[in-house]
Amino acid sequence: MMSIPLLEVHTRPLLARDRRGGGERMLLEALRLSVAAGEVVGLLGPNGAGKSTLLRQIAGQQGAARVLVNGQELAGLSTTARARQLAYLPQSSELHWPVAVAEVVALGRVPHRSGRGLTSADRQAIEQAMTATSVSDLARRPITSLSGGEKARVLLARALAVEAPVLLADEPIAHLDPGHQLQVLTLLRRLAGQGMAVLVVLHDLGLAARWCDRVVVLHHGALVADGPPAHCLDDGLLARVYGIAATRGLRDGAPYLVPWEAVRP
Amino acid sequence: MTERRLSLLLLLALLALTGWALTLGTAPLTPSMMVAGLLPDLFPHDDPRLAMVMQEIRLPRVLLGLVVGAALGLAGAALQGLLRNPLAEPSIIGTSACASLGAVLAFYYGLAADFSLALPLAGISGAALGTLLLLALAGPAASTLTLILTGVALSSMAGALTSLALNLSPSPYAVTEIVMWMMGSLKDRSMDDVLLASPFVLAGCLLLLRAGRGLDALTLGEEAAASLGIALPRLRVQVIAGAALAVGAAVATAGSVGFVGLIIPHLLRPLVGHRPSAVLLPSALGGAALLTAADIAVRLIPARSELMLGVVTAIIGTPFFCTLILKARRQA
Repeated sequence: MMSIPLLEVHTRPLLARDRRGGGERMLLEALRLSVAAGEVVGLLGPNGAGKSTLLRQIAGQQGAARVLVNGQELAGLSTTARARQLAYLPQSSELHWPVAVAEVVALGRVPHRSGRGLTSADRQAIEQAMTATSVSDLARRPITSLSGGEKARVLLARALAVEAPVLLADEPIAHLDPGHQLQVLTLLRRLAGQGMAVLVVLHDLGLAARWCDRVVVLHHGALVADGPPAHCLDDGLLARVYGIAATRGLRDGAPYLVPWEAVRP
Repeated sequence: MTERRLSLLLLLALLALTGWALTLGTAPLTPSMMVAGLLPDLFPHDDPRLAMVMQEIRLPRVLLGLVVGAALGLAGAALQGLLRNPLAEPSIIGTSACASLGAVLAFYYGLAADFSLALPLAGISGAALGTLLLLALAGPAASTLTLILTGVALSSMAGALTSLALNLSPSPYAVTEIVMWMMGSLKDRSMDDVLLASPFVLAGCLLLLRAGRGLDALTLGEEAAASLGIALPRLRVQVIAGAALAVGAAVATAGSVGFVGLIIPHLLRPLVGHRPSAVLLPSALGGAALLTAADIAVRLIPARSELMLGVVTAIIGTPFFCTLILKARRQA
Protein backbone atom coordinates (compact mmCIF):
# COMPACT_ATOMS: atom_id res chain seq x y z
CA MET A 1 0.00 0.00 0.00
CA MET A 2 1.13 3.53 -0.75
CA SER A 3 1.35 5.65 2.36
CA ILE A 4 1.97 9.43 2.33
CA PRO A 5 0.56 11.20 -0.71
CA LEU A 6 3.27 13.02 -2.65
CA LEU A 7 0.71 15.16 -4.46
CA GLU A 8 -2.42 16.39 -2.73
CA VAL A 9 -5.01 18.55 -4.46
CA HIS A 10 -8.10 20.30 -3.14
CA THR A 11 -9.93 22.27 -5.80
CA ARG A 12 -12.60 24.88 -5.36
CA PRO A 13 -15.61 24.92 -7.68
CA LEU A 14 -14.69 26.46 -11.02
CA LEU A 15 -17.46 28.23 -12.88
CA ALA A 16 -17.51 29.56 -16.40
CA ARG A 17 -19.83 32.24 -17.64
CA ASP A 18 -22.26 30.73 -20.11
CA ARG A 19 -22.25 32.85 -23.25
CA ARG A 20 -25.70 31.95 -24.46
CA GLY A 21 -27.70 31.60 -21.25
CA GLY A 22 -26.03 34.46 -19.41
CA GLY A 23 -25.81 32.26 -16.31
CA GLU A 24 -22.89 30.27 -15.04
CA ARG A 25 -21.88 26.76 -15.93
CA MET A 26 -19.97 24.41 -13.65
CA LEU A 27 -16.62 23.53 -15.21
CA LEU A 28 -15.28 21.57 -12.30
CA GLU A 29 -16.79 20.83 -8.89
CA ALA A 30 -14.78 20.98 -5.70
CA LEU A 31 -12.81 17.76 -5.43
CA ARG A 32 -9.94 16.12 -3.59
CA LEU A 33 -7.30 14.03 -5.20
CA SER A 34 -4.00 12.57 -4.12
CA VAL A 35 -1.20 10.67 -5.78
CA ALA A 36 1.42 8.77 -3.81
CA ALA A 37 5.07 8.39 -4.70
CA GLY A 38 5.43 5.40 -7.01
CA GLU A 39 1.88 5.64 -8.32
CA VAL A 40 0.66 6.12 -11.87
CA VAL A 41 -2.84 7.55 -11.68
CA GLY A 42 -4.94 7.75 -14.83
CA LEU A 43 -7.27 10.72 -15.16
CA LEU A 44 -10.20 9.54 -17.28
CA GLY A 45 -13.47 10.91 -18.56
CA PRO A 46 -15.20 11.71 -21.83
CA ASN A 47 -14.36 14.80 -23.90
CA GLY A 48 -15.26 17.94 -21.98
CA ALA A 49 -15.42 16.19 -18.60
CA GLY A 50 -12.86 18.60 -17.14
CA LYS A 51 -9.66 16.52 -17.23
CA SER A 52 -7.44 19.16 -18.80
CA THR A 53 -9.07 21.85 -16.67
CA LEU A 54 -8.20 19.88 -13.55
CA LEU A 55 -4.63 19.38 -14.70
CA ARG A 56 -4.27 23.09 -15.49
CA GLN A 57 -5.63 23.89 -12.02
CA ILE A 58 -3.07 21.62 -10.41
CA ALA A 59 -0.34 23.21 -12.54
CA GLY A 60 -1.47 26.58 -11.18
CA GLN A 61 -2.60 28.00 -14.51
CA GLN A 62 -6.31 28.28 -13.91
CA GLY A 63 -8.50 28.79 -10.84
CA ALA A 64 -7.18 28.61 -7.32
CA ALA A 65 -6.66 24.99 -6.30
CA ARG A 66 -4.84 24.14 -3.10
CA VAL A 67 -1.91 21.98 -4.12
CA LEU A 68 0.56 20.30 -1.78
CA VAL A 69 3.70 18.49 -2.84
CA ASN A 70 5.38 16.48 -0.10
CA GLY A 71 3.10 18.20 2.37
CA GLN A 72 4.28 21.66 1.27
CA GLU A 73 1.77 24.23 0.06
CA LEU A 74 2.72 25.45 -3.42
CA ALA A 75 0.78 28.70 -3.04
CA GLY A 76 3.51 30.20 -0.85
CA LEU A 77 6.30 29.46 -3.32
CA SER A 78 7.74 31.64 -6.05
CA THR A 79 6.81 30.70 -9.62
CA THR A 80 10.22 29.13 -10.21
CA ALA A 81 10.22 27.17 -6.94
CA ARG A 82 6.76 25.96 -7.85
CA ALA A 83 7.94 24.98 -11.31
CA ARG A 84 10.60 22.77 -9.73
CA GLN A 85 7.90 20.79 -7.88
CA LEU A 86 5.53 20.07 -10.76
CA ALA A 87 6.49 19.09 -14.27
CA TYR A 88 3.56 19.74 -16.60
CA LEU A 89 3.22 18.42 -20.11
CA PRO A 90 0.31 20.28 -21.71
CA GLN A 91 -1.94 18.74 -24.30
CA SER A 92 -1.22 21.15 -27.12
CA SER A 93 2.41 20.69 -28.03
CA GLU A 94 3.07 23.86 -29.96
CA LEU A 95 6.62 24.25 -31.14
CA HIS A 96 7.33 27.54 -32.75
CA TRP A 97 10.90 27.49 -33.94
CA PRO A 98 13.00 24.71 -35.49
CA VAL A 99 15.20 24.54 -32.38
CA ALA A 100 17.51 21.52 -31.89
CA VAL A 101 16.10 18.68 -29.79
CA ALA A 102 18.79 19.08 -27.12
CA GLU A 103 17.86 22.76 -26.73
CA VAL A 104 14.19 21.87 -26.30
CA VAL A 105 15.01 19.35 -23.57
CA ALA A 106 17.31 21.93 -21.95
CA LEU A 107 14.29 24.22 -21.50
CA GLY A 108 13.23 21.85 -18.72
CA ARG A 109 16.10 23.34 -16.73
CA VAL A 110 14.74 26.89 -16.91
CA PRO A 111 13.36 26.76 -13.33
CA HIS A 112 16.78 25.69 -12.05
CA ARG A 113 18.92 28.23 -13.82
CA SER A 114 20.02 31.58 -12.53
CA GLY A 115 22.74 32.54 -14.99
CA ARG A 116 22.99 31.87 -18.69
CA GLY A 117 25.14 28.76 -18.86
CA LEU A 118 24.22 25.17 -18.02
CA THR A 119 25.74 23.69 -14.87
CA SER A 120 26.96 20.10 -14.73
CA ALA A 121 23.79 19.19 -12.83
CA ASP A 122 21.76 20.69 -15.69
CA ARG A 123 23.72 18.73 -18.27
CA GLN A 124 23.30 15.52 -16.34
CA ALA A 125 19.54 16.00 -15.98
CA ILE A 126 19.22 16.72 -19.71
CA GLU A 127 21.25 13.67 -20.63
CA GLN A 128 19.29 11.41 -18.29
CA ALA A 129 15.96 12.68 -19.58
CA MET A 130 17.07 12.10 -23.17
CA THR A 131 18.35 8.62 -22.41
CA ALA A 132 15.15 7.68 -20.56
CA THR A 133 13.01 8.69 -23.53
CA SER A 134 15.56 7.33 -26.04
CA VAL A 135 15.90 10.58 -27.96
CA SER A 136 19.66 10.97 -27.52
CA ASP A 137 20.24 10.12 -31.18
CA LEU A 138 18.00 13.02 -32.21
CA ALA A 139 19.87 15.61 -30.12
CA ARG A 140 20.98 17.79 -33.03
CA ARG A 141 17.88 17.45 -35.20
CA PRO A 142 15.51 20.44 -35.43
CA ILE A 143 12.39 19.56 -33.45
CA THR A 144 10.10 20.52 -36.32
CA SER A 145 11.62 17.80 -38.50
CA LEU A 146 10.62 14.95 -36.16
CA SER A 147 7.72 12.54 -36.52
CA GLY A 148 4.78 12.75 -34.12
CA GLY A 149 6.10 9.90 -32.01
CA GLU A 150 9.60 11.34 -31.76
CA LYS A 151 8.23 14.77 -30.91
CA ALA A 152 6.05 13.36 -28.12
CA ARG A 153 9.08 11.66 -26.59
CA VAL A 154 11.18 14.83 -26.82
CA LEU A 155 8.46 16.84 -25.08
CA LEU A 156 8.28 14.20 -22.38
CA ALA A 157 12.06 14.42 -22.02
CA ARG A 158 11.68 18.18 -21.62
CA ALA A 159 9.22 17.59 -18.75
CA LEU A 160 11.54 14.99 -17.16
CA ALA A 161 14.51 17.35 -17.31
CA VAL A 162 12.70 19.51 -14.73
CA GLU A 163 13.42 16.68 -12.26
CA ALA A 164 10.24 17.48 -10.34
CA PRO A 165 8.80 14.88 -7.97
CA VAL A 166 5.40 15.14 -9.68
CA LEU A 167 4.64 14.70 -13.38
CA LEU A 168 1.34 15.92 -14.84
CA ALA A 169 0.89 14.71 -18.40
CA ASP A 170 -2.11 15.65 -20.55
CA GLU A 171 -2.69 12.93 -23.14
CA PRO A 172 0.97 12.15 -23.76
CA ILE A 173 0.10 9.20 -26.01
CA ALA A 174 -2.75 10.78 -27.97
CA HIS A 175 -1.06 10.82 -31.36
CA LEU A 176 1.22 7.83 -31.02
CA ASP A 177 1.10 4.44 -32.68
CA PRO A 178 0.59 1.41 -30.37
CA GLY A 179 4.32 0.70 -30.17
CA HIS A 180 5.17 4.21 -29.03
CA GLN A 181 2.12 4.31 -26.75
CA LEU A 182 3.42 1.30 -24.89
CA GLN A 183 6.94 2.73 -24.81
CA VAL A 184 5.71 5.93 -23.16
CA LEU A 185 3.52 4.05 -20.67
CA THR A 186 6.43 1.76 -19.76
CA LEU A 187 8.52 4.84 -19.19
CA LEU A 188 5.85 6.42 -16.95
CA ARG A 189 5.76 3.20 -14.92
CA ARG A 190 9.53 3.23 -14.60
CA LEU A 191 9.49 6.86 -13.43
CA ALA A 192 6.91 5.98 -10.80
CA GLY A 193 9.15 3.08 -9.83
CA GLN A 194 11.88 5.65 -9.16
CA GLY A 195 9.59 7.43 -6.72
CA MET A 196 7.71 9.97 -8.85
CA ALA A 197 4.00 10.63 -8.61
CA VAL A 198 2.51 10.49 -12.11
CA LEU A 199 -0.93 11.85 -13.00
CA VAL A 200 -1.74 11.18 -16.63
CA VAL A 201 -4.80 12.00 -18.74
CA LEU A 202 -5.73 9.04 -20.93
CA HIS A 203 -8.50 8.28 -23.38
CA ASP A 204 -7.68 4.64 -23.99
CA LEU A 205 -9.57 2.72 -21.30
CA GLY A 206 -7.81 -0.55 -22.13
CA LEU A 207 -4.38 0.99 -21.62
CA ALA A 208 -5.53 2.85 -18.53
CA ALA A 209 -6.85 -0.38 -17.03
CA ARG A 210 -3.61 -2.16 -17.73
CA TRP A 211 -1.01 0.49 -16.84
CA CYS A 212 -2.48 2.61 -14.04
CA ASP A 213 -2.42 1.75 -10.35
CA ARG A 214 -5.49 3.86 -9.89
CA VAL A 215 -7.92 5.74 -12.07
CA VAL A 216 -9.82 8.92 -11.31
CA VAL A 217 -12.92 9.35 -13.47
CA LEU A 218 -14.47 12.75 -14.17
CA HIS A 219 -17.94 13.26 -15.61
CA HIS A 220 -19.51 16.68 -16.24
CA GLY A 221 -16.89 18.26 -14.00
CA ALA A 222 -17.48 15.96 -11.04
CA LEU A 223 -15.33 13.17 -9.68
CA VAL A 224 -17.40 9.98 -10.07
CA ALA A 225 -14.85 7.28 -9.27
CA ASP A 226 -11.41 6.97 -7.71
CA GLY A 227 -9.75 3.61 -7.17
CA PRO A 228 -8.11 0.62 -8.84
CA PRO A 229 -9.13 0.31 -12.51
CA ALA A 230 -10.59 -3.19 -12.18
CA HIS A 231 -12.85 -1.92 -9.43
CA CYS A 232 -13.80 1.47 -10.88
CA LEU A 233 -14.31 0.73 -14.54
CA ASP A 234 -17.36 -1.51 -14.06
CA ASP A 235 -20.19 -1.92 -16.56
CA GLY A 236 -22.41 0.58 -14.78
CA LEU A 237 -19.80 3.36 -14.87
CA LEU A 238 -18.81 2.74 -18.48
CA ALA A 239 -22.47 2.91 -19.53
CA ARG A 240 -23.23 5.96 -17.43
CA VAL A 241 -20.10 8.00 -18.19
CA TYR A 242 -19.06 6.91 -21.68
CA GLY A 243 -22.25 5.28 -22.97
CA ILE A 244 -20.36 2.13 -23.89
CA ALA A 245 -20.14 -1.53 -23.00
CA ALA A 246 -16.80 -3.31 -22.75
CA THR A 247 -15.72 -6.86 -23.20
CA ARG A 248 -13.44 -8.23 -20.51
CA GLY A 249 -11.06 -11.09 -19.98
CA LEU A 250 -8.04 -12.31 -18.13
CA ARG A 251 -4.51 -12.68 -19.41
CA ASP A 252 -1.92 -14.27 -17.14
CA GLY A 253 -4.23 -13.57 -14.24
CA ALA A 254 -4.51 -9.84 -15.03
CA PRO A 255 -7.89 -8.46 -16.08
CA TYR A 256 -8.17 -6.49 -19.30
CA LEU A 257 -10.97 -4.63 -21.00
CA VAL A 258 -11.71 -3.60 -24.57
CA PRO A 259 -14.41 -0.97 -25.32
CA TRP A 260 -16.89 -2.93 -27.42
CA GLU A 261 -20.07 -1.10 -28.38
CA ALA A 262 -22.03 2.03 -27.75
CA VAL A 263 -25.06 1.60 -25.50
CA ARG A 264 -27.81 3.88 -24.27
CA PRO A 265 -26.90 5.01 -20.77
CA MET B 1 27.84 29.02 -35.10
CA THR B 2 27.60 30.14 -31.50
CA GLU B 3 25.89 33.33 -30.49
CA ARG B 4 29.19 34.73 -29.23
CA ARG B 5 31.12 34.09 -32.43
CA LEU B 6 28.36 35.58 -34.56
CA SER B 7 28.21 38.64 -32.32
CA LEU B 8 31.95 39.06 -32.67
CA LEU B 9 31.81 38.83 -36.46
CA LEU B 10 28.97 41.33 -36.59
CA LEU B 11 30.85 43.65 -34.28
CA LEU B 12 33.87 43.58 -36.61
CA ALA B 13 31.64 44.27 -39.61
CA LEU B 14 30.00 47.06 -37.67
CA LEU B 15 33.34 48.67 -36.82
CA ALA B 16 34.44 48.53 -40.44
CA LEU B 17 31.16 50.04 -41.64
CA THR B 18 31.32 52.74 -38.98
CA GLY B 19 34.81 53.67 -40.07
CA TRP B 20 33.70 53.81 -43.70
CA ALA B 21 30.64 55.90 -42.88
CA LEU B 22 32.83 58.45 -41.07
CA THR B 23 34.86 59.00 -44.24
CA LEU B 24 31.79 60.05 -46.24
CA GLY B 25 30.96 63.69 -46.60
CA THR B 26 31.41 66.73 -48.78
CA ALA B 27 34.66 67.95 -47.21
CA PRO B 28 37.70 66.10 -48.62
CA LEU B 29 39.48 64.83 -45.51
CA THR B 30 42.37 62.41 -45.19
CA PRO B 31 42.15 59.62 -42.59
CA SER B 32 44.63 61.40 -40.31
CA MET B 33 42.55 64.56 -40.51
CA MET B 34 39.46 62.60 -39.56
CA VAL B 35 41.15 61.04 -36.53
CA ALA B 36 42.42 64.47 -35.53
CA GLY B 37 38.91 65.86 -35.88
CA LEU B 38 37.45 63.15 -33.68
CA LEU B 39 40.17 63.26 -31.03
CA PRO B 40 41.54 66.83 -31.00
CA ASP B 41 43.04 66.35 -27.53
CA LEU B 42 45.23 63.46 -28.65
CA PHE B 43 46.06 64.80 -32.10
CA PRO B 44 46.16 68.59 -31.98
CA HIS B 45 45.34 70.28 -35.26
CA ASP B 46 45.26 73.90 -36.40
CA ASP B 47 42.04 73.83 -38.35
CA PRO B 48 39.02 74.22 -36.02
CA ARG B 49 36.71 73.21 -38.88
CA LEU B 50 38.01 69.64 -38.66
CA ALA B 51 36.59 69.06 -35.19
CA MET B 52 33.36 70.77 -36.26
CA VAL B 53 32.89 68.57 -39.34
CA MET B 54 33.73 65.33 -37.57
CA GLN B 55 32.05 65.91 -34.24
CA GLU B 56 29.00 67.89 -35.21
CA ILE B 57 28.17 66.54 -38.66
CA ARG B 58 29.63 63.11 -39.30
CA LEU B 59 29.74 61.55 -35.84
CA PRO B 60 26.10 62.29 -34.86
CA ARG B 61 24.88 60.82 -38.13
CA VAL B 62 26.90 57.62 -37.67
CA LEU B 63 26.07 57.29 -33.98
CA LEU B 64 22.38 57.81 -34.59
CA GLY B 65 22.51 55.14 -37.29
CA LEU B 66 24.01 52.71 -34.79
CA VAL B 67 21.46 53.53 -32.10
CA VAL B 68 18.45 53.40 -34.42
CA GLY B 69 19.63 50.25 -36.19
CA ALA B 70 20.30 48.41 -32.92
CA ALA B 71 16.89 49.45 -31.58
CA LEU B 72 15.07 48.21 -34.68
CA GLY B 73 17.01 44.94 -34.97
CA LEU B 74 16.68 44.01 -31.31
CA ALA B 75 13.04 45.05 -31.02
CA GLY B 76 12.23 42.98 -34.11
CA ALA B 77 13.98 39.91 -32.71
CA ALA B 78 12.30 40.21 -29.31
CA LEU B 79 8.82 40.81 -30.76
CA GLN B 80 9.21 37.87 -33.15
CA GLY B 81 10.06 35.77 -30.11
CA LEU B 82 7.18 37.07 -28.01
CA LEU B 83 4.58 36.74 -30.76
CA ARG B 84 6.25 33.54 -32.01
CA ASN B 85 5.82 34.86 -35.49
CA PRO B 86 8.70 35.37 -37.91
CA LEU B 87 6.73 38.07 -39.72
CA ALA B 88 6.46 40.35 -36.71
CA GLU B 89 8.38 43.59 -36.92
CA PRO B 90 8.76 46.53 -34.56
CA SER B 91 5.90 48.49 -36.12
CA ILE B 92 3.45 45.66 -35.37
CA ILE B 93 2.60 46.96 -31.91
CA GLY B 94 1.71 50.38 -33.29
CA THR B 95 4.46 52.30 -31.50
CA SER B 96 6.15 53.42 -34.72
CA ALA B 97 2.96 54.88 -36.13
CA CYS B 98 2.25 56.68 -32.84
CA ALA B 99 5.79 58.08 -32.69
CA SER B 100 5.37 59.26 -36.28
CA LEU B 101 2.07 60.90 -35.44
CA GLY B 102 3.66 62.71 -32.50
CA ALA B 103 6.41 64.10 -34.71
CA VAL B 104 3.95 65.04 -37.47
CA LEU B 105 1.87 66.98 -34.96
CA ALA B 106 5.03 68.87 -33.95
CA PHE B 107 5.45 69.84 -37.62
CA TYR B 108 1.77 70.67 -37.98
CA TYR B 109 1.68 73.04 -35.04
CA GLY B 110 4.98 74.59 -36.06
CA LEU B 111 6.79 73.47 -32.91
CA ALA B 112 9.54 71.85 -34.94
CA ALA B 113 10.62 75.20 -36.32
CA ASP B 114 10.68 76.90 -32.90
CA PHE B 115 12.82 74.42 -31.07
CA SER B 116 14.98 71.69 -32.53
CA LEU B 117 14.27 68.93 -30.02
CA ALA B 118 10.50 69.44 -30.29
CA LEU B 119 10.35 66.82 -33.03
CA PRO B 120 11.98 63.89 -31.20
CA LEU B 121 10.30 64.85 -27.94
CA ALA B 122 6.87 64.88 -29.58
CA GLY B 123 7.70 61.56 -31.23
CA ILE B 124 8.70 59.96 -27.95
CA SER B 125 5.53 61.29 -26.28
CA GLY B 126 3.46 59.83 -29.11
CA ALA B 127 5.17 56.45 -28.70
CA ALA B 128 4.65 56.49 -24.93
CA LEU B 129 0.96 57.35 -25.23
CA GLY B 130 0.47 54.73 -27.93
CA THR B 131 2.11 52.05 -25.80
CA LEU B 132 0.05 52.89 -22.72
CA LEU B 133 -3.05 52.71 -24.89
CA LEU B 134 -1.90 49.35 -26.29
CA LEU B 135 -1.33 47.88 -22.83
CA ALA B 136 -4.64 49.28 -21.55
CA LEU B 137 -6.60 47.95 -24.53
CA ALA B 138 -4.96 44.54 -24.79
CA GLY B 139 -4.27 43.96 -21.09
CA PRO B 140 -1.33 42.02 -19.69
CA ALA B 141 -3.05 38.66 -20.23
CA ALA B 142 -3.66 39.39 -23.91
CA SER B 143 -3.26 36.58 -26.38
CA THR B 144 -0.89 36.99 -29.30
CA LEU B 145 -3.81 37.64 -31.62
CA THR B 146 -5.32 40.35 -29.38
CA LEU B 147 -1.94 42.02 -29.16
CA ILE B 148 -1.45 42.05 -32.93
CA LEU B 149 -5.01 43.24 -33.58
CA THR B 150 -4.65 46.04 -31.03
CA GLY B 151 -1.36 47.03 -32.65
CA VAL B 152 -3.04 47.09 -36.06
CA ALA B 153 -5.88 49.22 -34.68
CA LEU B 154 -3.44 51.68 -33.11
CA SER B 155 -1.38 51.89 -36.31
CA SER B 156 -4.49 52.55 -38.40
CA MET B 157 -5.70 55.26 -36.05
CA ALA B 158 -2.29 56.95 -35.93
CA GLY B 159 -2.02 56.61 -39.71
CA ALA B 160 -5.43 58.19 -40.19
CA LEU B 161 -4.59 61.11 -37.90
CA THR B 162 -1.29 61.59 -39.74
CA SER B 163 -3.21 61.78 -43.01
CA LEU B 164 -5.61 64.23 -41.41
CA ALA B 165 -2.68 66.45 -40.45
CA LEU B 166 -1.50 66.34 -44.07
CA ASN B 167 -5.04 67.00 -45.28
CA LEU B 168 -5.48 70.09 -43.12
CA SER B 169 -1.90 71.22 -43.53
CA PRO B 170 -1.58 75.01 -43.81
CA SER B 171 0.93 75.04 -46.67
CA PRO B 172 2.29 72.74 -49.36
CA TYR B 173 5.72 73.39 -47.92
CA ALA B 174 4.66 71.83 -44.58
CA VAL B 175 3.25 68.81 -46.45
CA THR B 176 6.57 68.23 -48.21
CA GLU B 177 8.42 68.61 -44.96
CA ILE B 178 6.20 66.07 -43.19
CA VAL B 179 6.30 63.57 -46.05
CA MET B 180 10.06 63.80 -46.35
CA TRP B 181 10.48 63.36 -42.60
CA MET B 182 8.27 60.29 -42.61
CA MET B 183 10.51 58.60 -45.18
CA GLY B 184 13.18 58.32 -42.55
CA SER B 185 16.67 59.78 -42.63
CA LEU B 186 19.79 60.28 -40.57
CA LYS B 187 20.70 63.47 -42.40
CA ASP B 188 21.34 66.70 -40.50
CA ARG B 189 20.87 65.23 -37.05
CA SER B 190 22.75 66.81 -34.20
CA MET B 191 24.49 65.37 -31.18
CA ASP B 192 21.44 66.55 -29.18
CA ASP B 193 19.29 64.11 -31.12
CA VAL B 194 21.71 61.30 -30.34
CA LEU B 195 21.82 62.22 -26.66
CA LEU B 196 18.05 62.43 -26.48
CA ALA B 197 17.38 59.08 -28.15
CA SER B 198 20.20 57.05 -26.61
CA PRO B 199 18.95 56.73 -23.00
CA PHE B 200 15.52 55.52 -24.20
CA VAL B 201 17.03 53.10 -26.68
CA LEU B 202 19.51 51.84 -24.09
CA ALA B 203 16.82 51.30 -21.44
CA GLY B 204 14.62 49.54 -24.00
CA CYS B 205 17.47 47.34 -25.20
CA LEU B 206 18.35 46.30 -21.63
CA LEU B 207 14.73 45.27 -21.01
CA LEU B 208 14.70 43.28 -24.25
CA LEU B 209 18.04 41.57 -23.70
CA ARG B 210 16.86 40.38 -20.29
CA ALA B 211 13.78 38.71 -21.77
CA GLY B 212 15.77 35.92 -23.43
CA ARG B 213 14.99 33.11 -21.06
CA GLY B 214 11.24 33.75 -21.16
CA LEU B 215 11.29 33.95 -24.95
CA ASP B 216 13.13 30.63 -25.12
CA ALA B 217 10.54 28.98 -22.88
CA LEU B 218 7.74 30.39 -25.08
CA THR B 219 9.04 28.13 -27.86
CA LEU B 220 7.02 25.41 -26.12
CA GLY B 221 3.82 27.46 -26.04
CA GLU B 222 2.30 29.56 -23.28
CA GLU B 223 1.11 26.77 -20.98
CA ALA B 224 4.44 24.97 -20.92
CA ALA B 225 6.32 28.25 -20.50
CA ALA B 226 4.14 29.17 -17.51
CA SER B 227 4.74 25.73 -16.01
CA LEU B 228 8.47 26.42 -16.19
CA GLY B 229 8.01 29.39 -13.89
CA ILE B 230 7.89 32.13 -16.51
CA ALA B 231 5.51 34.93 -15.47
CA LEU B 232 3.92 35.58 -18.87
CA PRO B 233 2.11 38.86 -18.10
CA ARG B 234 5.38 40.31 -16.85
CA LEU B 235 7.27 39.03 -19.87
CA ARG B 236 4.73 40.62 -22.23
CA VAL B 237 4.88 43.99 -20.52
CA GLN B 238 8.68 43.80 -20.43
CA VAL B 239 9.02 43.10 -24.15
CA ILE B 240 6.36 45.58 -25.22
CA ALA B 241 7.75 48.33 -23.01
CA GLY B 242 11.30 47.57 -24.14
CA ALA B 243 10.37 47.57 -27.82
CA ALA B 244 8.30 50.72 -27.39
CA LEU B 245 11.11 52.62 -25.64
CA ALA B 246 13.71 51.60 -28.21
CA VAL B 247 11.59 51.91 -31.34
CA GLY B 248 9.70 54.99 -30.16
CA ALA B 249 12.93 56.90 -29.60
CA ALA B 250 14.38 55.59 -32.88
CA VAL B 251 11.38 56.64 -34.97
CA ALA B 252 11.13 59.96 -33.16
CA THR B 253 14.67 60.90 -34.18
CA ALA B 254 15.10 59.18 -37.55
CA GLY B 255 11.58 58.83 -38.94
CA SER B 256 10.13 55.50 -40.01
CA VAL B 257 12.75 53.11 -41.30
CA GLY B 258 11.06 49.88 -42.24
CA PHE B 259 12.16 46.29 -42.70
CA VAL B 260 15.38 46.39 -40.63
CA GLY B 261 13.56 44.82 -37.68
CA LEU B 262 12.07 42.18 -39.93
CA ILE B 263 15.05 41.19 -42.05
CA ILE B 264 17.85 41.12 -39.51
CA PRO B 265 16.41 38.60 -37.01
CA HIS B 266 15.36 36.51 -39.98
CA LEU B 267 18.79 36.40 -41.53
CA LEU B 268 20.53 35.70 -38.23
CA ARG B 269 18.10 33.20 -36.70
CA PRO B 270 19.24 30.12 -38.67
CA LEU B 271 22.88 30.95 -37.88
CA VAL B 272 22.35 30.53 -34.13
CA GLY B 273 20.07 27.50 -34.23
CA HIS B 274 16.78 29.45 -34.03
CA ARG B 275 16.86 29.87 -30.25
CA PRO B 276 15.02 33.17 -29.55
CA SER B 277 17.43 34.34 -26.85
CA ALA B 278 20.46 33.69 -29.05
CA VAL B 279 19.03 35.94 -31.78
CA LEU B 280 18.73 39.01 -29.54
CA LEU B 281 22.26 40.42 -29.23
CA PRO B 282 23.30 39.54 -32.82
CA SER B 283 20.12 41.28 -34.06
CA ALA B 284 21.06 44.49 -32.27
CA LEU B 285 24.53 44.40 -33.84
CA GLY B 286 23.18 43.31 -37.21
CA GLY B 287 20.52 46.04 -37.19
CA ALA B 288 23.16 48.67 -36.47
CA ALA B 289 25.36 47.27 -39.27
CA LEU B 290 22.54 47.13 -41.81
CA LEU B 291 21.36 50.64 -41.07
CA THR B 292 24.91 51.98 -41.28
CA ALA B 293 25.37 50.16 -44.59
CA ALA B 294 22.06 51.54 -45.89
CA ASP B 295 23.09 55.05 -44.87
CA ILE B 296 26.39 54.58 -46.72
CA ALA B 297 24.41 53.46 -49.78
CA VAL B 298 22.17 56.52 -49.49
CA ARG B 299 25.21 58.74 -49.81
CA LEU B 300 27.00 56.78 -52.53
CA ILE B 301 24.07 56.19 -54.88
CA PRO B 302 24.13 59.02 -57.40
CA ALA B 303 20.74 60.68 -57.51
CA ARG B 304 19.36 64.13 -58.12
CA SER B 305 18.76 64.61 -54.42
CA GLU B 306 20.00 62.36 -51.62
CA LEU B 307 17.82 59.27 -51.28
CA MET B 308 15.91 58.85 -48.04
CA LEU B 309 17.04 56.06 -45.74
CA GLY B 310 13.56 54.55 -45.30
CA VAL B 311 13.19 54.40 -49.07
CA VAL B 312 16.43 52.45 -49.42
CA THR B 313 15.64 49.97 -46.63
CA ALA B 314 12.18 49.42 -48.10
CA ILE B 315 13.65 48.82 -51.54
CA ILE B 316 16.05 46.25 -50.06
CA GLY B 317 13.33 44.87 -47.80
CA THR B 318 10.47 44.25 -50.17
CA PRO B 319 12.20 41.67 -52.41
CA PHE B 320 13.36 39.98 -49.22
CA PHE B 321 9.79 39.92 -47.94
CA CYS B 322 8.67 38.38 -51.22
CA THR B 323 11.24 35.58 -50.95
CA LEU B 324 9.87 34.90 -47.45
CA ILE B 325 6.38 34.54 -48.89
CA LEU B 326 7.63 32.21 -51.61
CA LYS B 327 9.52 30.14 -49.07
CA ALA B 328 6.46 29.89 -46.82
CA ARG B 329 4.39 28.89 -49.85
CA ARG B 330 6.79 26.12 -50.76
CA GLN B 331 6.75 24.79 -47.22
CA ALA B 332 2.95 24.81 -46.97
